[in-house]
Amino acid sequence: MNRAEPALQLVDLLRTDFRTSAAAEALGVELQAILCLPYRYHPARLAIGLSLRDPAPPPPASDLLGKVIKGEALFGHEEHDLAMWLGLLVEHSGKSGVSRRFIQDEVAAHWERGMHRLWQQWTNDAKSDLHTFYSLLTQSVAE
Amino acid sequence: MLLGEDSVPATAAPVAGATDSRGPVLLRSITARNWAVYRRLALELPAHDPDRPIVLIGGRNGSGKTSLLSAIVFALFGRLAIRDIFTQDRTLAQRFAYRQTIEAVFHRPARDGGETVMSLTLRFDTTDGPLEVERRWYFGDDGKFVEDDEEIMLRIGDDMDLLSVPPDTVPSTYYQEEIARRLFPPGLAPFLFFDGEQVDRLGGRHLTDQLRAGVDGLIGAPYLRQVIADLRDYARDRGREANPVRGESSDAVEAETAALERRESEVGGVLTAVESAVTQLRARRDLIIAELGRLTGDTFANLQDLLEQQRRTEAEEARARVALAGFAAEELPLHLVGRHLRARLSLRLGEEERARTTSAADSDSGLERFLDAFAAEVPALTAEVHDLVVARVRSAWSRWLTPDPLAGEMRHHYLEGRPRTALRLRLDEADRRVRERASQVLEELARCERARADLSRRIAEQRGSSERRELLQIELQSVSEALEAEERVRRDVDRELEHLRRVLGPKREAIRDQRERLASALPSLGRADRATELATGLERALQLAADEYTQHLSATVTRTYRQLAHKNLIHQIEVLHDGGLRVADRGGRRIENLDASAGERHVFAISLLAAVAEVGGMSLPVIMDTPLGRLDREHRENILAYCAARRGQTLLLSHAEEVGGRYLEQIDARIAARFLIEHEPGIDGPGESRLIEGYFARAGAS
Repeated sequence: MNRAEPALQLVDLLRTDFRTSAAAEALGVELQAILCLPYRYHPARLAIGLSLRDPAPPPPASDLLGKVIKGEALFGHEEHDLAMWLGLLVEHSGKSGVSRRFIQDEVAAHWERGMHRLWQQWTNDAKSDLHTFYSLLTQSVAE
Repeated sequence: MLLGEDSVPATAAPVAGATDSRGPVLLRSITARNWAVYRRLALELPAHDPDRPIVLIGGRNGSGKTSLLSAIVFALFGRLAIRDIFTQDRTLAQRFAYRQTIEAVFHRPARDGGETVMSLTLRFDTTDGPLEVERRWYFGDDGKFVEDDEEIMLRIGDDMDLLSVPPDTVPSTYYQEEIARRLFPPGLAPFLFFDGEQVDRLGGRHLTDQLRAGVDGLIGAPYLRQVIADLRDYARDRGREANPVRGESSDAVEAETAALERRESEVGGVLTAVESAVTQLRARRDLIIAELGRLTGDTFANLQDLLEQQRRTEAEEARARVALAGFAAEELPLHLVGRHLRARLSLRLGEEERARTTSAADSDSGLERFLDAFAAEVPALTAEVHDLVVARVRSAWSRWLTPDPLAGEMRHHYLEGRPRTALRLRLDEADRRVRERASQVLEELARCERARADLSRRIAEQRGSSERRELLQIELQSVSEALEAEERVRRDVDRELEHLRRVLGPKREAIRDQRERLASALPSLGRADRATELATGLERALQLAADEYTQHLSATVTRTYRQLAHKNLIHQIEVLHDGGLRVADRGGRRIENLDASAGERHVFAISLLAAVAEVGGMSLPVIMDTPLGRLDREHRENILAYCAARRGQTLLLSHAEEVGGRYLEQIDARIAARFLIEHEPGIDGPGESRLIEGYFARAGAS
């Protein structure tokens, strides 16, 4: 933990820029089109959720060359949405007193790991079928 | 000779004089009644003796030698003697000359005595037996010749039966033809019966005609030409009968009918093709209408409905996709996080909330109030159980009040001042919500997709039907137009066919009638064709015979002339087809116009006569009046030698100074009979002559 940084405030995240690697960004764009999702943050949010499922910490993002998504878009305008995602990220990391920068890095890492897994799910498991894809994701939730 | 209506003339009989095959013709008697100086004449001539062919008849000038010669010619040929023998002029003037001649030769004393008949009778021996020719001339009271009453009779056989004349045949014509056929034709007469004093006329203007007539006579040309003419007349008559059938108008009708029938056939072919096309087009039109009927029932309105449904379904699908996107964006990510992390967070948030809101004092008083309430519960527990439960509650309470090591960290301090309960509630309900939403959203999307797919299929089908209907309507219009056009053509063709059949009907009827008439006329046409063929064949044969005889005659006349003439200026005499002569000397020079003496012309003429007679047949009688005329001695001897050498009968009509003395001796051994004409002059007329046997008691020639 970098103690030099100020304590994280929930409202700070609304205007914070989040990005991931260029590769994950590209896959996200492709999945956005495939899944008919209207916004770029939709596949990004799915990727972060899927990555948080894995208790192991994600490897750091390979780079941060993807396009920016504001925090209010990536996690939602509502305070409780933002609080929930921040809580999940912090609880997953097992850290206390995390900084904004830490959250940005965590988000980048989960975004990248989750995007690769989503793509794998789409291509390998769902065989590029929309309903199978969503069914598999839903079943995984039910487990 | 005339031909029967339906008969073809028989092939011409052999022509007398054309060959020697018929044997000798011998003049056996001459009977005259009122002919010139002969009031009555009955001269019997000896039978044929090849060793003695000459009959010598003596007579002084004017005694009747030439009358005897003319009696033979006129008895045989009548008016033809004038026309064909003594002259070639066939004008009315010559006919008038015949009348004058006949009236002139009518024995004047007899006429003056009131007699009205003149007759001549010649009797011949032929290989077919005796033949007698009798000709009679009748005169009016005024002595005028009644031409229409002239008679000729031909008798044959030992009984001298009158030769029967075929039906529908003019007797005089028939007999004249029989004379030409059985004895000799008129054209040959000048070469058989001639007057030596006139013979040199043959070298004059009539020579060509005489020679042509001679050659014609030799080959029977007049007879054959008559036959040919009759055949042609016959063919023409039969052709005329068939003209209404086979005439130009008939041919024109047949040609026009054939053209119309060709057109009828063409139009019929067009009609067949048109009807076939109409049938096919109608069948196609009916099929199109039936198919359109089937398509029209559920097409257009349904398509609009389906399109509307599709639009609604697409909207629903779009909404479903939006819902799915919302699900994917809102519910699904939280639930992808997994129950474990969510529960862990929820627990931590609960503890951090309790630690933030609960104190120890509040807890002890509360525990005491709780235990009092517990003791008041009925039915009451046993004291031992009650004490045990109270002891455990107090122990658990004590542990609960002991702070969690984590709580002291306050990991989620950024939530300070914000209710964590709502957040925990959301984390705890995440699974339930995602199950409901997931099935709802995905099923709706699937339903929409299925509905859209089904609608798309149905719309495609409907659109296919619609396109099919449009194609069918286009084709129906095309087929209807084509059908209308074909039916228009058929109406036109029907009209033309009807017109053609209306026109053709009478023509076919006419042609059928014509063909029936043609069938009935065919025998006549066939005979006409055969007659034409026969006439053509005869013409060809006549030409061939003329060629052969002119060549033969040319050789004979050249040889005879050389035999008779003592000067051989003439090397070759050629008789041409038209009767003309081409005379050439030894150098081949033409010398027809050579200025010859009267004697030379006489010898030349005698040569021609002898040659023609020889070619015509040595066995024909030759009668020479004044044969030696003005010839010199050498020519006389030559001619007498020629006469003596002939096998055929030769009658020499001589005066006393002509055949007598040495000349008589020259032929004496060849003379079969001798006669002398005795003439008794009349008081004021020609007098009267008669023949007696014997000759001049003392002939003067020396």
